[in-house]
Amino acid sequence: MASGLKRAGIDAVTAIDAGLAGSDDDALLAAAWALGRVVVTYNTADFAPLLAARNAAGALGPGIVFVSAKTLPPDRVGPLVKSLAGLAGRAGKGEMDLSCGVFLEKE
Amino acid sequence: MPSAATASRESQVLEWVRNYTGMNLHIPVATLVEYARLKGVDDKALARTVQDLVRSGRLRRTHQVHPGRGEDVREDNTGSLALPESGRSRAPAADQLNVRIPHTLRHALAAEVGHLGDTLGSVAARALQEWASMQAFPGIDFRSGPAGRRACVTGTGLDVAEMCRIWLHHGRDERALLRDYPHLERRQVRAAIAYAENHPEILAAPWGTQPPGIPAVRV
Repeated sequence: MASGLKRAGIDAVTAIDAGLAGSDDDALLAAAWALGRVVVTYNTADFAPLLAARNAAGALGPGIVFVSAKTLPPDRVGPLVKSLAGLAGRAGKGEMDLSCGVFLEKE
Repeated sequence: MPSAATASRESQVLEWVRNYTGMNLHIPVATLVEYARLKGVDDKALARTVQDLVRSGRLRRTHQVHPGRGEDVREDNTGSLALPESGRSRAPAADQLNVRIPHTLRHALAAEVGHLGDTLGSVAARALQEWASMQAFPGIDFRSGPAGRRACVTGTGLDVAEMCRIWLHHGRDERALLRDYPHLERRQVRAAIAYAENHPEILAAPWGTQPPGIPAVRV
């Protein structure tokens, strides 16, 4: 997925490439945000409470994109990359704010 | 008279419930559904089997609603099941074990109080439990998150549950998965499947669903 995004001109890295493969969620989120990166995940159970805690504390960062497994399943990487690239484009133009989190669905 | 295939399916489901409820009082239906999918049993066949088992008194329904589970869980996936009282395995009793440990290890365990457990004893028990799991399932380690400790596939940045869901989404086809995710290795996929088959409850957590209060965008 990260390589697909790179081909679409989006600066993306996997958690492995960022050296965060073994990190706890909180550390991963902190590190990604410190690098100015948005976290993309299917993991609602763990990252939603982390984001809520940070939002409540006013600690906003670049944001989290929660991906819909129903409309953008992990076995359809092409549409997933296309949607993420489209979202990144809109966020880059300031049309969309990801800092409080968004739930990405296929159009 | 049930067919041999139906009877075999019923025994299989009862065995899953018995294994799970050996440690827990009841099994969430959503967990049983995930377990069945891992084993290649489709949802409809499972639903029929569960219905028959409940009707004949070999399974009983317990809680009907799981608050906070997420609104997208299908109606027939809610609630829990348990064996009738007479057939339920008793949860194994905890044993007391007194051991002498080096000071350095004690300090290391003490540093985890509040993370791995609330007391030194519970931290030690948790650490031993994870060690035993890592021995039994090479390639698996554990990571902390807001929902507690969870099993991860070493070196991938993925939870076991995530890896298994990706595998299931690929129709249980390792090759197709590895084509889409070339940074993963076959042994990592297999480690995740092996762990999940023994801990199906990890697949019950919300995944790929809309978190409360987070707006949906369609792109």
